[in-house]
Amino acid sequence: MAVISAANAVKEYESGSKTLRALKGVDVSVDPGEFVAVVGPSGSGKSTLLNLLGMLDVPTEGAVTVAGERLSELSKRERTNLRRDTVGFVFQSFFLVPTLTARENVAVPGLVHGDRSELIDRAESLLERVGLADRLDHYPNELSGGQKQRVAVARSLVNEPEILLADEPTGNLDQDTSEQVLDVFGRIAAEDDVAIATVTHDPQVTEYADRVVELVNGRIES
Amino acid sequence: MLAFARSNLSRARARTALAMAGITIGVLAIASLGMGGVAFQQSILQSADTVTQSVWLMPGEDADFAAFEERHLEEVRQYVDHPVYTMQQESAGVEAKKASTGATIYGFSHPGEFATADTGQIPDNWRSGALVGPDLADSLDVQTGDSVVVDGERHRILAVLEPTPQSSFVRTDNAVLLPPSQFDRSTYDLLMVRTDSPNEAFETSEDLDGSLNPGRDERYEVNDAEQLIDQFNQQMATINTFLLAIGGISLVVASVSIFNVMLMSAIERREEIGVLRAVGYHRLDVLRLMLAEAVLLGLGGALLGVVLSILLGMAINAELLADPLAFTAEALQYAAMGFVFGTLASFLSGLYPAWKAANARPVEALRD
Repeated sequence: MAVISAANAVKEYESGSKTLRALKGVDVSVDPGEFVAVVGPSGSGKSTLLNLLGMLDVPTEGAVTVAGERLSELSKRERTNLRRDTVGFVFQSFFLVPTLTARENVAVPGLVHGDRSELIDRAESLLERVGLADRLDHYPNELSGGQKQRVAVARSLVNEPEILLADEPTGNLDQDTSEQVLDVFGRIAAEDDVAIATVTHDPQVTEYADRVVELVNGRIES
Repeated sequence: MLAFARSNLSRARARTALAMAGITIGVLAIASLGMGGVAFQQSILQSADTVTQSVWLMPGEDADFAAFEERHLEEVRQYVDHPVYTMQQESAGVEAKKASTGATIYGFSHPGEFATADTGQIPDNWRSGALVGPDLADSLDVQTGDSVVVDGERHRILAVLEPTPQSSFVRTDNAVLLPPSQFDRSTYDLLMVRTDSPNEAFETSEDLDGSLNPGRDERYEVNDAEQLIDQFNQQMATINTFLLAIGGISLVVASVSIFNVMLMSAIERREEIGVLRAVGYHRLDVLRLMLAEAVLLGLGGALLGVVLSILLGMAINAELLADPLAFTAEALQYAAMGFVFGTLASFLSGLYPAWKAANARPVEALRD
């Protein structure tokens, strides 16, 4: 049973007097423990799809279902809560908070709710899991790109999500460090049954993925 | 959350410090101008002691006498525990070796209560000799040790007086002070009761008025400085309001700078705030975070401002009141007011940037 799915999803943007149709009816679903790569030329609607799946945006038509909840039936507030509890994000440029240590960065998503010391413990064990046990108190500018991305992955896991969404997670990394990040993804999918969907240009990622979805001009090419 | 806000402030230290300095200056302006005004007021009232702590009596409208006699003095003395001084006043020609002029002649029982000596000494118990005001000494070209002739009688000058303080109501600058025994008459024009504080003076004045004028007739006219002080306090309040307005303007400038800092910070951290939203921060959470930063800025700046203004207040107190710790409740109130306004101003100027940051759509914030 898919933990996240889009059915006939259409997304239109108004730009001036023209309406831009970024997605023209897309069906996609990801099962727990599955690693799906979404590829396609730029402008094909990859990031739009990811935003819909991550509940950062709502489809113009069609349905998005996350963990059994239909997006259109939720209020903004409920959407934010559902996103917090079920979705983790990883971005191309990491977006770590520069004044916080690796440990604190991982804990950030939980800071507004939940117990702080428990959160810090959890952040430590997550950093151990992504191979950064010796970097707990380092600040982002003391970490390499691959290490930063692994901190970001640990951060995306701190709320125990069922789905991990990644936007070009290896876009700023070289081959070796990409490998490390992908290994972490693979382990998370296998061990925690987390569904992973990533948008990518990187053949290394598509090789690693269980399934590849190709988007061209707002439609899925199979 | 607060720790997070603090760490966010520490990333642009110079900017944070400048924004805090703005608030500090604003609070300092409000608090120290207020405190300074109060200290100034205190110092004036202190130097006006002789007036504010006194009750003076003159023959009233319905008096059957033109000047006080010994029996009147006794009547007054029986109602008060404080010393009662007598004063006589006349005009006369005064001659010295080189010049002569007209002057006021005062007869004082206790001249030390009304004047201070510039050169020479005011005797405690005097029966002869004269005290001369500084202006008169100038125009007659005399000094301590010389003599003056008043109404044909020669008097040795025991002291030349200091200029009369602004607040004194007996102006001795152009006068000769003589012992009462040197006057031909034994009646007094004015009686003065000296108490220990303005409030005591007001009470004494009311008591005396009641005791001396039991009926409807006003035999004694009883005066005190209450009205004078009220008037003075009113003027000071106007001046203080003006000073506070100046302080307020600097606080407005400071809050504009906090507004600017918070707005820049919101724009700079657009992506980061987008991430916070993506990982499940509600708009309210982001709003709270940004407001916490603004309030921390304000609290820090205001606290420093209060400390500085208390130090400055101590300097002002030491200068005007001769005691660094002579803070009145009113002065401390100004410090508290500065603190509250400073914090409030930064909270208010943090509102819009925080609201703007909280309402940025995460998708747009994250688009590279």
